[in-house]
Amino acid sequence: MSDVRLDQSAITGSVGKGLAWLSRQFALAGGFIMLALATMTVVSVIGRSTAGIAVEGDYELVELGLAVAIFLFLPECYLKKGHVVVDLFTSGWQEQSIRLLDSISDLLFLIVACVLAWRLSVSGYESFDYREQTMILELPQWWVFAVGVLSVTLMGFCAAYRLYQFVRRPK
Amino acid sequence: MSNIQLAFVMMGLLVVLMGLRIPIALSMLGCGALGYSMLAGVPALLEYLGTAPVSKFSTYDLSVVPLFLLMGELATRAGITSELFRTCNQWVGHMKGGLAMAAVAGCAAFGAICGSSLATASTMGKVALPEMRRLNYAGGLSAGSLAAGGTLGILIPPSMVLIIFAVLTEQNIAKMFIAAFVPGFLAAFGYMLAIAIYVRLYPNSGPRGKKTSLREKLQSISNVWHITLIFLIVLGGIYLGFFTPTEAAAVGVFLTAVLAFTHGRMSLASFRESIVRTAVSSAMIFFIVFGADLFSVFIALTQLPNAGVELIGNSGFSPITILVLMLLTYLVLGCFLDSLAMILLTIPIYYPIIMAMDFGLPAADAGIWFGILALVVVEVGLITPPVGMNVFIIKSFDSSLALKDCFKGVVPFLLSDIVRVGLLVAFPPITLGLVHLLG
Repeated sequence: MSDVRLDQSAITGSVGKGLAWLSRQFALAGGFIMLALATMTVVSVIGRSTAGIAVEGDYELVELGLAVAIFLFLPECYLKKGHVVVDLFTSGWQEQSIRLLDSISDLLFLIVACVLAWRLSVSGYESFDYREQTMILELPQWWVFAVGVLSVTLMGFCAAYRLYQFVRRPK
Repeated sequence: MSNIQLAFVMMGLLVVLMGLRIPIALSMLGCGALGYSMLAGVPALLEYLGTAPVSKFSTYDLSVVPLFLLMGELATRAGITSELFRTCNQWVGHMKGGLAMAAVAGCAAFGAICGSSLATASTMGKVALPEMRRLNYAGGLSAGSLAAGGTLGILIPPSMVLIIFAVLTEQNIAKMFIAAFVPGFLAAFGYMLAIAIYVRLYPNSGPRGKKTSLREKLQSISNVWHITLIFLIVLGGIYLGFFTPTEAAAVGVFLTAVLAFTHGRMSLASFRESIVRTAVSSAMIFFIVFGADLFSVFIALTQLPNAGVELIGNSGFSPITILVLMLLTYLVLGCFLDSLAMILLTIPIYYPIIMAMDFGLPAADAGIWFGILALVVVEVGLITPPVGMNVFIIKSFDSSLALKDCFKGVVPFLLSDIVRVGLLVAFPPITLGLVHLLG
């Protein structure tokens, strides 16, 4: 399940390399957010059990921080072909047909990325407008949407670039 | 077209899309979106798409998933598998088939800090497979014991599938972990028993290793103090209610990171690799959860689960028959779907039916019991053809192994699985006893 095919899937060209680099930085940033949250939780647990004081609002920080991290992970997962596919029925097909099917997936990813970027912007703006915030720390929530918009946009660019590569490839 | 028919049409479309290599998450999202917009309208769908990603990704109970994934990634790089394997070998190596038993025991121990089958199979396989081949173990037995042993990674908590099940059904994750404990170790024991029987039927398949003294045995335990400590703190903390699973996972990440850097001499490059792999797996899981959520919201709107409850209520079949039929469908689905997708697709329909039937258990208990049973059967798909991911991983380590032998070698472990499922169905206290004791 957590097996990752570290397949760079032939992202070439300077634009492609740039997108891959950016996705990698997004993923690493998300990873460091996770590590920071883990450290914060350890401090909170130790504080709670020794001095009786936990980090205030630690649950909120974990919830929002991990939502941000997961968004940041999306472009890297897409580029690395991390999304599980069923290849039982198509395993005997010719490489060209498989490439066509994979491009249909890329197109769907592009559509999903566009729709999500649009809808997350709208909801994020509403959240900003209503000054939605968390219960204890009163952190504004709109920036989670902002990271979401940024991440799905990057994923969309990656999908668009892959489609462009597919169309340009000599048949 | 009635709503129920629409549900079946969408399920058919889902199977077609998945069959055409469209990622599972995307197929579910697409079919869910289509069906939902037909029933609730496009504006409702657009509203959902704007808020659901944030609310799904920021679910506190799900935050345990990336943390346990990172913990598992770090554990595979902490350089502890060879010590685990050697210690287990000191204890059981002198028996017939002892190395294979040591591999299973090592997998069980590693599974207690790692929630993924593939990671467990591959780390233990790298260490144990060359040893077994060196001592002339039969290829089938070597590959079978490691592939089956790998499933212990997910059968013994922490376990990704269990976490997702708990979130879907609003069960308590800590209770699910407690419930999985005895069945998990029963699985390890069953696999060792399968090896013991196999080497008696095929005498040359697994020769004895050398005898060790009790002193050596006891001494070898001190080599695995680190994993014991992490296990006691992380799982012990959850079982005794000292902290929430998310807190436990955070503590586990911290401890395994310290272990990996000091003991495993992990480099910064492999630390980065752990993070990237965690990122990819986490995004994959959360995207499936997002897609499956929309699909199950749509299925709930069609009233299919209610119709199913009614139909089965009037069918005259006994609850146990229905349960067994459901478990059999997992074996069929396991031929082409991975375990997480199976749980996400079936639970919205199966769970209401299970909860509506009378197994002579309190409702909360029946839910936990069903979760453990489902976990056990979906893992069978990892070692059976055609998908059998664990088997392929083990085979990839040694090109002299024939795939046919590998799948033949899995048969004794499959039989052990079937016996275990039977026991768990017939005796719910195996699963629920510890929950009641600690609850």
